[in-house]
Amino acid sequence: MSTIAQAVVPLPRSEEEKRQLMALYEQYGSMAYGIILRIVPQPELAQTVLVDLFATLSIAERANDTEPVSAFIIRMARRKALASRPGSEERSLTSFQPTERNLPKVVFNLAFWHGCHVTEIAARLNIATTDVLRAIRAYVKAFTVA
Amino acid sequence: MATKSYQYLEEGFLEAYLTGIVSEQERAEMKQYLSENPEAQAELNEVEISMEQFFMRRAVPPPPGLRDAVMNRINQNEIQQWRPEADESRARNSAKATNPESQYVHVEVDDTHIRVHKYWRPAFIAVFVLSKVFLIAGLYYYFKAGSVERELEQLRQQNSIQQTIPTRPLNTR
Repeated sequence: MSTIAQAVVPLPRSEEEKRQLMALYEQYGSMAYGIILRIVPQPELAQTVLVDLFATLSIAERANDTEPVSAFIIRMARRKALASRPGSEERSLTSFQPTERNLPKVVFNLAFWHGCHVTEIAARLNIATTDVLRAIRAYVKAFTVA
Repeated sequence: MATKSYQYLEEGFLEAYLTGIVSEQERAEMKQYLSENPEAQAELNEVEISMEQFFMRRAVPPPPGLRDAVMNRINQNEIQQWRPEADESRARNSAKATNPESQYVHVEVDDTHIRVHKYWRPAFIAVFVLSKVFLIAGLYYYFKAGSVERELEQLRQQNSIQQTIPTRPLNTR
């Protein structure tokens, strides 16, 4: 049984668009695979997600966006990997016991790698949502010195 | 607006936006805010560079055969709309993992390459250099030991010649 939501809408891709997609794969494929593999540790499934990611990217949609290309790839890779993750419903957060020192890392891990929303993290860790965002900022800021 | 600007810049909204942690509504608000604030856009670009470096350091090269799989899918000449339910169904199938004829892309079947951790490269170079150093040192000491052996032999011969010459008394008168 097919529904409208399940329908695949065929749109022709231009040669230029195909070339751009492959260029994106060449440039960001490793980065996207690293992200996907961290979220979905099964290599076969991670490879399927990676192929899906670049096959379903829409260059035209991105061209109208102010979002940087790398951020777009990171966001899409994370989103697809989280959606493809087996057993994502029964997420266990019991192993995350943050101290003051590792709070930014724990918050980032929960938010980025485990797909928890900011409010969920705040409730779990018993901190304010602004503190969650500040922790993420602190961790991302530390990227430059890492 | 000043309060909102402070929030976005100081409270981590930019970073959350870049990493895709925010909801779709917050993302739309952020896009609107960025289009009106060049200062925030500049800050965003800075964060993006460091974030890209962070994830690039954690990059994992996909199997070489996967490139062809991506190209084949792209060459199907259609944009397939992303359907979260398709991913979820794949996730369910993966969790079961009972069917060996699964929908996985078996890209490494005809692949003659192997993939190793990136730290193998410096390790291999170090082993190669050390092997050369030991080879040169071994040859040096081998030839040096040979020459010392020859000198020792010569000295022994000289010594034995001196011992065979009869010594005459100094005052025979």
